[in-house]
Amino acid sequence: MSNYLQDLIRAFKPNTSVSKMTMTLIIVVQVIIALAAWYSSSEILPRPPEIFGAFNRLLKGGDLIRELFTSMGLCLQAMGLAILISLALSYLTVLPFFRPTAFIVSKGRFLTLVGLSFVFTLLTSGGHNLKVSLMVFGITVFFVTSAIAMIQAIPKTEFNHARTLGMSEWQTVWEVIILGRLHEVFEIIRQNFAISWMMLTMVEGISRAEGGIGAMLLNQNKHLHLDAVFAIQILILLVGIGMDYLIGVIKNIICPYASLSLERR
Amino acid sequence: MTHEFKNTILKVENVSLNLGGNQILRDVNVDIRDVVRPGMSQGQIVGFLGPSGIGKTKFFEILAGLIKPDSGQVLLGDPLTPVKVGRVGVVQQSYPLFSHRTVMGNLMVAAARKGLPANEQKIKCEEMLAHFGLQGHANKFPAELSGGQRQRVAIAQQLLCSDHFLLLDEPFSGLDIIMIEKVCELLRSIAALHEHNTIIVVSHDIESTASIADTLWVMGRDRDDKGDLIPGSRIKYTYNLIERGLAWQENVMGRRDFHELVDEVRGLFKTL
Repeated sequence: MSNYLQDLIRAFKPNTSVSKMTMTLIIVVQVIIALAAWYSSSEILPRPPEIFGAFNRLLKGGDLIRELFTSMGLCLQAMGLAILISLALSYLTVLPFFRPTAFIVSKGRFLTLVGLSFVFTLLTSGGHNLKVSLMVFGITVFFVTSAIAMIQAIPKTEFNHARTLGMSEWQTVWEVIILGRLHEVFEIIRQNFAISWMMLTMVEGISRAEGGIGAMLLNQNKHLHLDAVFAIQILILLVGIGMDYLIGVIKNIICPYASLSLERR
Repeated sequence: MTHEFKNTILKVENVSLNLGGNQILRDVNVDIRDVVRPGMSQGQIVGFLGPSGIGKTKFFEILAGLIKPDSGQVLLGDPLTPVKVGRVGVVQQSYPLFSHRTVMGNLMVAAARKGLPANEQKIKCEEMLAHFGLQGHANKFPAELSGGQRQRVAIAQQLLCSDHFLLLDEPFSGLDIIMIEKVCELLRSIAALHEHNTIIVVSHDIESTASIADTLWVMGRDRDDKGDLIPGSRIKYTYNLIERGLAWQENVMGRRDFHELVDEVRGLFKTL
């Protein structure tokens, strides 16, 4: 008992770790507090049983799973394209010629997608292409910003190390920036997947013809089905967390060295 | 001890460097000659000493071919040819390695750079692992190595692809006495691997550096008539430890004349 107590006290000390058992206990306590707060809050907010009921209703009659897959397809397509464009543009900043372009693209994050939707409507054909374009734009501006910052943070000693091995400047780029920072690219993908998942609802709201979980959420919102809104939100949250975890697992498989020197694994 | 100085294998001619209006180096001139000892393979070890902020790092980078001086040149090899980046192995103080590659992967990259045939690359890398006592660590990533192991991998990597020249920046920094002795022994063994192996050790540790070197360079600035420092460092003093009978000696650190030399160099530091 005293060991558990000591472990629990350690949870309030900086830069320490606790046992798995204590961490599980902490999580359970925090979940109970959150649920208690939820139940004791205003009656306007739907309670867990109502949300669970709405979830069942959407599953049976609302094509929830089909809409979820539609959204995931859109998200993955946009992510794939955005990763290709962003990485190409970011890696090309090793050439001074491409730096202004990358700089301008990264500043695009201060623009609003709603404002740009009209421009993209004119530039693209069909609702799907419009959504993909908006998503790719929205992800790319953030991705390029992070990737450029990652490249700029590489110390000179790492470049010199590659050069002293007789590598050409392109080989240095390959070894130090592309291979050497692959684990950080995975982290950027993780962050940007969360951004894209968050944008999805808004983008699907602009063009609802194809459906998707975002369109479904907006429809439920319009009819003030708060229990269904909460059910969809929780599903979006869980899928997002699941995808984030999956990207982390892939990162650990491809880049096993990345977490070796970290204090918290 | 019988020895003979043969051809010059590293020559620094009138090297000057100015950065942002500050004269860092001024007319640096030194040369290293191949020391030949009958019946044995004897490389050269040069200790490069000087107080902080004197321009050692910049000179180091010029020797490695990483930056070009404003005037003058560095020639190396036999016959002498201008230095190019990649010809001189550089082991920086932080012992940088490719963190995404294993120890073996790091060595294989260097072996490939040297242009060795594919079947020879692995053999050469395994020889290096054995020589540096790293056989059990071939599949580890750099983050899994101790500081000493990391240093040995970094040296092995550079030796695999350089042209017999190795620059080491502060190899004794942060090490305890036992580890310093091990590093000294390692550097002596590397020098003995090939007749033309030339190791330049940049260090603040006068005693450890002098114990393995056959030549000491002391970098500093001149003073004008008023005693003010003249901008731009150069190699002010060169000590030939072979002539003094202090090179290649067992237990040299126990000798009185060795300590007199160390005190002399230490005294110089205050005037540089």
